[in-house]
Amino acid sequence: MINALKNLPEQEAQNLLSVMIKEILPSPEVPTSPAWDEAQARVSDQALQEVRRRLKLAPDDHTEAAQAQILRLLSEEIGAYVSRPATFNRVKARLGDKGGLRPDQYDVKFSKSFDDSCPKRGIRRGDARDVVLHPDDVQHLTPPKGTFNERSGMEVSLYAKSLTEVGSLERHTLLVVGLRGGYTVNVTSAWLVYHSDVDMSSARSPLDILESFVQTYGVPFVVGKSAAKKFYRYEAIAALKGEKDVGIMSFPPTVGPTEGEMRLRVGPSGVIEVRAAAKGEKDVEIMSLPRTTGHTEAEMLLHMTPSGVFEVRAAFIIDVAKYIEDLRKHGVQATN
Amino acid sequence: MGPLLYSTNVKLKWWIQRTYRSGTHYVWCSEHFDSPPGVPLPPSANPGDIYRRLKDDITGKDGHSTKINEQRACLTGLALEWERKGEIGANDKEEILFKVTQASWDDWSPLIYIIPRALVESRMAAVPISQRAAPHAPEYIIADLREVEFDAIEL
Repeated sequence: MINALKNLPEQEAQNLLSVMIKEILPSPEVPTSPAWDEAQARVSDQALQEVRRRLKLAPDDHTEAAQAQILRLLSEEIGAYVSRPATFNRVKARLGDKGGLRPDQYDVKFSKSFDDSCPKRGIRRGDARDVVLHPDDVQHLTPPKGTFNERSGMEVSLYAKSLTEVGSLERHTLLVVGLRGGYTVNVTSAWLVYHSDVDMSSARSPLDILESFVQTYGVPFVVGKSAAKKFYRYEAIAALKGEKDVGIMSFPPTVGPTEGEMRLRVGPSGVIEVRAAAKGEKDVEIMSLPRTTGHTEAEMLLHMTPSGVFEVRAAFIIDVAKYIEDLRKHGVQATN
Repeated sequence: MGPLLYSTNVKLKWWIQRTYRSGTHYVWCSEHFDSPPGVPLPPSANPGDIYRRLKDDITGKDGHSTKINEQRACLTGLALEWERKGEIGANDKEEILFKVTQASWDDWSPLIYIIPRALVESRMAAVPISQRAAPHAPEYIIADLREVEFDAIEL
């Protein structure tokens, strides 16, 4: 803190520092400062003298290098108030929710679904953490405006890093899926995408890579009233008129908060139906999944609102048997 | 008079203007990317020279970099100014100050904006000779450059 400013209210001190910057900065972008009153001019002079003493600059040193040092100190003084722990964490969390932090500014956590599956397919926590913190490309998905409310802890981030193992010419990408909440990313799944198996010719972003991967290994299923698709992203399903269901099990969603409940049932044709209901409301059909003979894994990033709207952030089902078979071709020790 | 204008800006400024100014960018630009033969442009009016200086400072991790410190101060001053004028809220100001204080070297990396002159001709404000780095080097300000009106590239 510059002593000459310490008795001023914070806002006034900031404004004064800002005007001092404008006086020095050779840029018309920051507009000309307003007229000083006598007291402000005196405090500003004292502050500038103190800054020069602190930086060990002679009073007549107006070189570019000296001015740059002064500018740095003045801007750090203004920025100091966001560096206080409570403010720092609050602002960091807000930026984190928006996807506005650098990847290495997020804390990385791992969900049970990651630990249950990914290590069996050759992806360790350290591998996924490295991709999240130092990706080649990151894409923070945000809901289309006006349809979804942004929810901390429920927004999807995708991270991709291209890898070529020593002694191998096989190009592949490690793709990591996470949910961001504040400045934490909770990794839910990670997938090894071999370029010889998955068509990457039109992939320009992590989302494109995920879509291509799901087109290769995904299983079609139905969400709401749509035709069967392999990949769903940002679909909101308002309350549909449901039939009476036969509940075979009831479980809370594995991700995120919910105010309702979901049920699975096996429909007449053997198709598994997922139904959901807000508290005290009739349940509605959310999605139906095909009966498969092999092993599949579902990534369902979804949430039900108090009004019973079921929000699907992203949803896909992977035919794990097919995926593992391909991983083994590339020498990955993969198991179910 | 060529068909293109050039401006060098740091990545962080590009991000801030995209995020908090609805993608409207304030730029200071020149008709030449670098000094044309026989007409040396002063370094501060030469986008190529500004680009190289920023690149060198980042490569050398120069904590005393004049250009970077000017940018840091400029963005800090702008955050306060925009809030004072009611163009952004207090939360936005805090977020900009956070980004500036926590900026990495990469955030100060330069981008070159390539601007087709025909798209912005009517909004180009000539910098008065008294404010130019050199009288023979025309410079322009475009206060409301939209993202569809330029390409931002790295060399």
